[in-house]
Amino acid sequence: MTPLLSVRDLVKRFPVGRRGWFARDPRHVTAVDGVSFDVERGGALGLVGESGSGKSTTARMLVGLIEATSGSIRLDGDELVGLSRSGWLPHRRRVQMIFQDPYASLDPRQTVMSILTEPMTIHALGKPRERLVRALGLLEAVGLSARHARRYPHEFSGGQRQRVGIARALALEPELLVCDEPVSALDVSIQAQIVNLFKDLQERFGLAYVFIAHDLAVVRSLCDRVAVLYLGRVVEEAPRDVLFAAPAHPYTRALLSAVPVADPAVERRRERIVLAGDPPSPASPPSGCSFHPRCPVRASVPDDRCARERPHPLPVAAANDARAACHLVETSTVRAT
Amino acid sequence: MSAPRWNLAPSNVDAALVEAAGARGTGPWTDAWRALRRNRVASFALWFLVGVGLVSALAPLLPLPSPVALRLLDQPAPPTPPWTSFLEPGFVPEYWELGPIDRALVSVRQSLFGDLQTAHWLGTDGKGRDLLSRIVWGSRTSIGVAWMATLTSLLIGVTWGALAGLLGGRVDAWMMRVVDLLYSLPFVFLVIFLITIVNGWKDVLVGRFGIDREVLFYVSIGAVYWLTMARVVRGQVLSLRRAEFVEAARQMGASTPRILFAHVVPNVLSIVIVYLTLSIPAVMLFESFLSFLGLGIEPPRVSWGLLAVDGADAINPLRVDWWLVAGPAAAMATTLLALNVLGDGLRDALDPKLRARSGGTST
Amino acid sequence: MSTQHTSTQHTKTDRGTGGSTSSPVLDVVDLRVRFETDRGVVRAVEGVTFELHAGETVGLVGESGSGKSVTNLALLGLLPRPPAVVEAARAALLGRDLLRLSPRELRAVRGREIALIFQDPMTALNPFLTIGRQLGEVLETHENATRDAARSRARSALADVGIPDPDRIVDAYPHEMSGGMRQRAMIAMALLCKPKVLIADEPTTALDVTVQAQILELLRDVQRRHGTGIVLVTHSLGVVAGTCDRVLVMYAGRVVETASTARLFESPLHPYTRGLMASVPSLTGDPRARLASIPGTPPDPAAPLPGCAFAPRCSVAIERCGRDVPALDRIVLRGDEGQRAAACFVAGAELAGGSANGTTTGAKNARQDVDFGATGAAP
Repeated sequence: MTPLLSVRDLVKRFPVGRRGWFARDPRHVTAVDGVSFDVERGGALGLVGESGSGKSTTARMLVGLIEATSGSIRLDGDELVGLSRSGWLPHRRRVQMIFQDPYASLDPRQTVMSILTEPMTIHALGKPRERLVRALGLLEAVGLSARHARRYPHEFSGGQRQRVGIARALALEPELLVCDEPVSALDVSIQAQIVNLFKDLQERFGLAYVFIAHDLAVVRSLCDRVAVLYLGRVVEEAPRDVLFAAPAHPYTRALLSAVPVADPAVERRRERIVLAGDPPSPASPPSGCSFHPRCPVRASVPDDRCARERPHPLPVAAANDARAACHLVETSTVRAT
Repeated sequence: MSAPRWNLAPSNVDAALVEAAGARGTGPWTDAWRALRRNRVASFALWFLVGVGLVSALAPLLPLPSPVALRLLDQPAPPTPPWTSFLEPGFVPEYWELGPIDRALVSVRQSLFGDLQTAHWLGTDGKGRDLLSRIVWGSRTSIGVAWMATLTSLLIGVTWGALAGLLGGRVDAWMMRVVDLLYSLPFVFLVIFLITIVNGWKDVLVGRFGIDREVLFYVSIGAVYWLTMARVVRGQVLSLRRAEFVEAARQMGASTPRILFAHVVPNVLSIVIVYLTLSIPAVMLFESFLSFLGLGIEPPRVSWGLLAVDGADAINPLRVDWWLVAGPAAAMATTLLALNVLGDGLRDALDPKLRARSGGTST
Repeated sequence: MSTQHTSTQHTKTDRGTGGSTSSPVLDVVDLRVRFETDRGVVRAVEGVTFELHAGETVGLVGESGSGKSVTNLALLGLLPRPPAVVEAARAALLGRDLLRLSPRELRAVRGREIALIFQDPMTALNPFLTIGRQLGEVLETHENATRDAARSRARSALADVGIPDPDRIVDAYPHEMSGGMRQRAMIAMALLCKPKVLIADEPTTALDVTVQAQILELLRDVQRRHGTGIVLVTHSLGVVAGTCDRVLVMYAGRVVETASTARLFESPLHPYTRGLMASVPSLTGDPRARLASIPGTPPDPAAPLPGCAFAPRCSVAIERCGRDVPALDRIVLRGDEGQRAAACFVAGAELAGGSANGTTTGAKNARQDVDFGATGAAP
């Protein structure tokens, strides 16, 4: 069965540098450097990465806010890259985005009712009279109540605002939700509520998610596949249980070992892989494997191959349906179909 | 129109509709209004200005002496306080050409008060004209100029700035270059230039289109004052473009006009209002300055600027007719002060950072 | 009303965990902070008591509105008063009462004896000065060092916190550095005069996970070497588990539970602590399970309700919880890891032997997650 979303070799380069009277060749920053992944219907893919990994840029390309430099994004077979604004319009109903900052993603001058009915108006969804009722239904679906309908964003807490944002995204009945760190700005006790809400909505409406988060534990509770990004490239992509139990890529291992665990016994005992240095900036990427300057096991690869040759994601021999981009990881010769 | 696929009705539709109708939230404008009311100084300034506006608008109705009736042989008379003499006879309905509403008001005034007019509470000038009356009638001109000029600058400035901010890129750069260029020219020369040109075409404009000198004056000032408004609006629009709610609107398919009018403009309005309130004083002062130079309002009309001119002339070593300076100066100073205070209060009240993050628990 | 002001003196005695049995470097008893605004009084902190010994790390855990950051700002005199009003029975740094110091004395103490590092290093670092100048300024102010001496000490301080290439960084501006490096520079600045107490307010929240691990490691290292007492404010239970010796859990301006880290995670007493721990997703356990969340939202500090602040969201609240405020010494247990306490009328007897997580909440249907429970009683 064809996946709902199929991304291949997605690249985004931003021009940097002066373009003035003396137009030199502008330099470029490559934010996304050839990313590929699939999302199944009703599935959930977690995109994990640190600053500079390109996950936000990728997300915005998926919903058409940023134009891709090259590559392909296929939504149920329809190519999205290269579409004009009017070409995108019918697809807007199929993929929607949820933003990170609940305080900035709602127009402070609109009532909740207006926020929810706006997408319906733009797409002429349903009869105008029905839209009010549908908006009330959306409020109920995300755990708010009808008495919130005529209120303004500033009268709500962060968690409630995020629910409104989710309701707005659902107004168009999308098949895919791209969520850009939707719980990072919320208190811990509210995070759990919203994560549960995501689970419920997925069940109720059969949604697929591309879920971006830096909190690996949250990703684990929602997603069935996880892709790890580093400096614009996918370094590992695997089913959730495989990734968390047996990470193949050294960066994934370091990432997992750096996540603090709410158990003092585990914390004191565990072996921490502490990486040297900071995440690199996309403006000056390392040669070859972008992770090699910080990689703890780079020396195991002969001829300094890691500094010269860029590894590509290949199926991992030890695991089913997992790919890793590392010269060190044993890959299988049998390509997964 | 496309048909929805999901069943999204609330579990109890009627109850939900009733609940929704019941609770209304307080919008950001209501919130700002309340914040302004809490600021006592700014509230006072607001009511003061409302009072000034009322008096100014109803000037023909008030029992004031004529602002233009000349008695050339008189010396300037010092103020007669109201408790000494409240009203006195001798009203002569002499004015410059008034519009129909004003003429109607004058006739109402005549039937109400007949011959009576206020005694010269603020004194008279060298031509026998009552100062209080001239101040009140002058306020109409000054306030009128301020309003028209500011509105003109608003229209031009907001459009220019919003377009530049929204379109971005080269267009934005060029539009702002024009602003920078105009900024570097001295205002006075520009206005003189404009007024001179306009004067040359005066007959055509007045004759064919019925636009009089005053309107041209207003528009000239406004045409010069829009620059800062454009910059301010552009800055605000630029930051709004990046706001996540604008991104959200775009990714749901909103067209650029919709984003502009439904999202950007309402959020720019607050800064425009503040800037409006704060630029009116500047325009009033500028008008005074121009009138001082003889380029502005011409007699027999009166404005605060012209009164300042008269007052300045009155200062000589022989007589100190202090009231001719004190009256207009006090009027202008208090009004400008009130406008500035109100502008400050509005800016504080409209600043979302001071309130929005309280994250109320809406239950 | 009277229950709100029950003093928590009991919890002062019988400490001595992690650090030494000597007198505490930081001794706070019944700290209260309120803000008198034109919209009414906002009670941000209502009676916080704790001790910090040398070489010990105390964690202040809470969510927004818990008052954890305000506590530290108040101790350092960084809250503008008015509108803030700060009172305490005792707020002593090495015996000196912080709240009674004159502004001049306070300036001398800040940086020298007690230092603060923030969540966002860009708020602490001046974007117009090089790092070397900023560090040098601290030394020139507090120790009357000369420019050259200050610069070389700044350089070695940067090296001490693990900044690579300190010679270049000394002349660099904050915006030229990455987030992790800026945080290290801020820590270096805080440690310059070798303070006895370091207050770290969410120092790693804005950082990437791998960088966070580095910074926490750095803090541990600093503590080992200099014996600094650290007060770590955070909302992350994972960070607490890995770095703190003792923990204070705060909710709505009060301390609701305090214990050694090991005991707290092993058997949390207060329903809020239990709910918090149950709602944190973990890297082990069944990923498909729903997270046990605490229903409702944290209260608004400007509009407090009577009784226990957590009662509207509490699954085991009884009628009394809506009327009276439980004091921290409601439940006091003494053990070999020092004393622990919880402010709850219900916990202890009922929960001591029961299940250790709040699955009662999770078992109810999904609607409960979003019942804001303004009526107060248990859902």
